[in-house]
Amino acid sequence: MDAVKEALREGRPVALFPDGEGVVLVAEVGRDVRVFHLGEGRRFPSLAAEFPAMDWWERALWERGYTPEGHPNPKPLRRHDLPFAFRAFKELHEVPVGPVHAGIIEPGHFRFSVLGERIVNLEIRLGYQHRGLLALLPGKGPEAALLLVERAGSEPLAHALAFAQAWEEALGRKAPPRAHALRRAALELERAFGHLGHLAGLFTDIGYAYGSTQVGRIRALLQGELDRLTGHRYGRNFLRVGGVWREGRPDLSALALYREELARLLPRLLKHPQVLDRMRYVGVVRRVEAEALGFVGPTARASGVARDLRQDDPAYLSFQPVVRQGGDVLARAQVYAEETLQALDYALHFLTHLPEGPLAQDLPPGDGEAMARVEAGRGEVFWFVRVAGGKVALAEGVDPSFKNWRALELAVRGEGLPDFPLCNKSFDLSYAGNDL
Amino acid sequence: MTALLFLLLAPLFSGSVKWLKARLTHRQGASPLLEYRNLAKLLSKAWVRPGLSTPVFLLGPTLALLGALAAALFLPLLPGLSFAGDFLVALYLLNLGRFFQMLAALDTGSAFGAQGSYREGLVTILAEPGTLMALGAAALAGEGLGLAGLPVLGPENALVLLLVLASLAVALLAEGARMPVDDPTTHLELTMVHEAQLLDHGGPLLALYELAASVKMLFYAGLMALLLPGPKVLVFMGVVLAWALALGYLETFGVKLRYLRLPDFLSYNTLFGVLALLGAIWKL
Repeated sequence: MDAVKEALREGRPVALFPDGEGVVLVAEVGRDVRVFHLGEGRRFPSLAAEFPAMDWWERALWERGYTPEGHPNPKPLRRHDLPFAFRAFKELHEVPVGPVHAGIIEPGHFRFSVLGERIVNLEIRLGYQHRGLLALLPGKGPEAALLLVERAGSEPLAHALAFAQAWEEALGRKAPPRAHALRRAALELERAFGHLGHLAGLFTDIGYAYGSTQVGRIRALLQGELDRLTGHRYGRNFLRVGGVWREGRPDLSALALYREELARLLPRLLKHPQVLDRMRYVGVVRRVEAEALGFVGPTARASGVARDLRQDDPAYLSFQPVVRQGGDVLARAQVYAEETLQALDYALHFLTHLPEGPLAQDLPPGDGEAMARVEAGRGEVFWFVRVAGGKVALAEGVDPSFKNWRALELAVRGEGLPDFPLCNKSFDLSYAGNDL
Repeated sequence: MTALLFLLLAPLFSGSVKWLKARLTHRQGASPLLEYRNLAKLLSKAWVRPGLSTPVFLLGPTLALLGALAAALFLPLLPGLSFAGDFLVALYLLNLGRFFQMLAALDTGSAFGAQGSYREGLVTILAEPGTLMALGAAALAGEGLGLAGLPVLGPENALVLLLVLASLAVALLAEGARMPVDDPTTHLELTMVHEAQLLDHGGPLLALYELAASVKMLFYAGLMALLLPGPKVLVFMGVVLAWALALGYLETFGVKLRYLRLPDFLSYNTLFGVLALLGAIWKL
């Protein structure tokens, strides 16, 4: 137990999932991954009191029939019929928002406790998108499983890549070098595409029509290149266990052109004085909070945590993560802007240095288990898979959104109610990915 | 007469602004005349009312439009009503409409309706004194305290009237709920000011609200036209055209202000009003 606490104190949880009668905790310390097996008989010791990062994990497990013993406030994470916990004093006004919104967006319930226009507390309740995806996986072959995994979160390529890598490692195989490079190129295009979406959304939310249409235009063009490379506008059905299905021909000179255009456009948009006024000092997540709650991806990097899983990948040569210290909406926007350019650089690099060789190797139906992590646009995607006779015996995935939703709760504390949508968009988390 | 003109022109005005915004962002843009068909569509729909609401829910949109049209009657662009002090009546007819609009939003019992109401209440309270003082100053500078006797811009009253025009411009943005005060195109309930009040109104009720919003803006444009030299109706058309261009530009290249910064922006309105009044008194 001391080793577990030590790991959580120094690092952060990566995944917590049930395996038979016990649970498995995966934690990252520095750049190492440590795996712990906790509890038995569907009971395990709770760590949430000491490590708030574990709170959502343990409550999610509690819903699946595994009891965290000694949890300070056990309540379901995704059930909607229970009262809200936050009642500081009765003068607080409660504003319920959602799950049905005025725009066509994913459903989520936000319960604000406000004094006038100031948000004192926010409680987020998700779970409207729970599809039982993890429960569908056992018994599936690699193709059928990937079909589901690609629909887990908002980033099909990152999820499929993590799942395929876990499967390959479980069988002790590797994808051929050409497939490896193509996968990385597609992943970087997906990242650029996603980040531009966050930026366009930010500009829309502050009513900056010029910014959002300009960014949206290049985003749509990039999506066309992703389509040319993978055969699908969101990159679905491109990856397979053992390699990739096809190899398209994206227009490299067009990609370079979009990169140049973005390099001119994005800094200009983010220096518009009114844009600065809306974004600066708004929605701050401090570094201690990011570390204590184990945030990942651009959310953590905008708060000064210099961690990006691509640092561990030798294919990225000497990778330098994009880091900002401010932790506010502007810092996150700047991280998105810079990572977009970085992602396009890497995509061009991978596509111009493609090694020769086959696109895939066929894997025999073997046995084994492994886990893999991939840095998606929103952060760390985790997949664990246990293969038995070429079929999934047990699979568990975690979308980065699940780790980051509480950053929003912290960011809006003390902000004005009208700034909530902007803060929300600056994380742009996936509702569906949260509820696998 | 003026009211009729406004009623006919209102959809064209809002349609033109939408078309211009589309063009400025390199989109094709729907025809400015689409607004007429949109209104016809809305008017032909059935309307629904939240279960717990009272007839006040219906009074909101009705009085918002009637108030704006009644106020337009007093604008002497075309022959209409006129008496000393009529600008007060006109302004408070607009406010009467807004009062019922706020009640109707509260009547729905939704959190957003109430939020929109108190925000719009605040915006109105902040914008009202400046506008009143500005119009009062203009009236003092002219003959008689009526809209018919308003002076036109000339070298001898340029300072006062320019301040009045500036104040009216801020008032138009605030009352019309346009950028940078409010973003009329947003779908984000929590940032809404004006739109949050309309969320529960649909069909014909929404059509009335949309007409009312455009008529209100035309009313302020009409007030500005009264202060400018030249044949009234032509000047009015010019002012409306200028406003369509200005709104298209503001809503494309501008950014919506933070809600908590609105008092700063609206204080310019008050400042212009006070200065115009001082100028008018000093001239006397």
